[in-house]
Amino acid sequence: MKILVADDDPTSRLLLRGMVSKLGHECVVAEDGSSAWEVLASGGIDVLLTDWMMPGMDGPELCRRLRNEVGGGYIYIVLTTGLDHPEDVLEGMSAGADDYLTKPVDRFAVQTRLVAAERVTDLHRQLALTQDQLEQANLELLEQSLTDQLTGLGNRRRMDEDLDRVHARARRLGRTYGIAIFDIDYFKRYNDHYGHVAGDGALRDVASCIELIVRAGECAYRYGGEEFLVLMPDCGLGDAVSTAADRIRQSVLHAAIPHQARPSEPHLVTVSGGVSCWMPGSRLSAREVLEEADQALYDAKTDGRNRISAAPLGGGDSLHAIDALEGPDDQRALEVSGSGSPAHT
Amino acid sequence: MSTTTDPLDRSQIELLLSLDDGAGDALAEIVEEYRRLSWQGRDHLRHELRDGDHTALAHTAHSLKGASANLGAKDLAQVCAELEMHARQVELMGSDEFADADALMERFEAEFTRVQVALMLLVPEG
Repeated sequence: MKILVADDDPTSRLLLRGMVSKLGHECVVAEDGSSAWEVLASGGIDVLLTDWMMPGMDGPELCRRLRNEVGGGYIYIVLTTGLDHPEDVLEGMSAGADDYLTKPVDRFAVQTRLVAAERVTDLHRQLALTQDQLEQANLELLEQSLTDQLTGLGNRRRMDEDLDRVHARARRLGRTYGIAIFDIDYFKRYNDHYGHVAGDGALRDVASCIELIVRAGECAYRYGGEEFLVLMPDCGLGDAVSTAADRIRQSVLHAAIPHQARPSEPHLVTVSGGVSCWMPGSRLSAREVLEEADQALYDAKTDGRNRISAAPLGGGDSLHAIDALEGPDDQRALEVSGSGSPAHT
Repeated sequence: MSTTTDPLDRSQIELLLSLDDGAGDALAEIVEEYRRLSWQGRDHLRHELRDGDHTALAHTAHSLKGASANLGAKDLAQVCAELEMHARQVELMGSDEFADADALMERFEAEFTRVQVALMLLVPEG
């Protein structure tokens, strides 16, 4: 251990340093409270052996200051005292000393104090380590609680938190944001035909397709059983959100995941999507923007699926649906992108 | 007061010697440090007593007490303790000087001399 001896008497400094070094420890000396404090502040000290009475800062004061300092490892403090006033010892202990030694110092007494010092400082080091591990574990747990275990995307809870934050920010700074909700078409039939294990696989695949397209700053979530949501901050002008959503739709189609139980062409897994956005001046709440996207999704389904539908800006009666490319055009999309085998795990 | 007792407690000297396993350098260092501060301390005591500065006197006596004990000079440490106690009492009571001041100082001077002689035999001044 590294031990600091603080005493204004030179003979005491020499004696203690001699004893401490003989026991195999590293020793530093200080002649008063202030220089002791400087040494302590620079770190690395495990044990402080300090005299009671010193010019400037005395022993108890040094103890108090040391115990009030946050951070750094635990320093074991032993007060040396002439025992002129036994009640002083109690004051020293209350000030933060761990033990005391009477002067003139006995070598075995020093040795026993240092045994205890080693034990206590080890305990404190272990405690600090355990605390760090606990903090780390808590962080990981928190992350898990916000993640959908199957797909690795954010879960509904994370989505709610992020949406509130993005909405508040948009209102505060006069920005926009868009929401796209996707739902896998005929997913129940997929499960019935291929089984639930395959169904989980399809969910993971669709999640991957979405993640491929989603840009930095945007976030994808598993919104429900077979629903996904993408939140796009600063993306609400014109067709930006619809276009982005359509690229996601195409990505899923492009993955060419077979879906024999799909009642109509293509016999591949497809998604329908509903988009909405928020612009400065809108009186909609975040939840209402969400509802609009949901409604738009419903429209996409009823209009034939495998398409994106957009909610009217700022609310309104008429819907304008952006029809996705279908049939031969979709074939062209597949050919144009050129990759041979579909991204299908 | 007996003049046949050893002014230095040999077990304490043994301890000082053991610090460097009998090499004697550690002992010499401590003895020399003590010599320096004790002669100075004696001068301070004389002046403080003459000036009636009992606060300073108590402080000097206290320091000398501790250092003397470290060297095994138990009797000298005892005299210093008495000097300290009396000086503090004077401080508290507010009287100008304490009784027995001369007697105490006489004892101090005598014991001081014995200790310095013993130390000289132990570690010759060099």
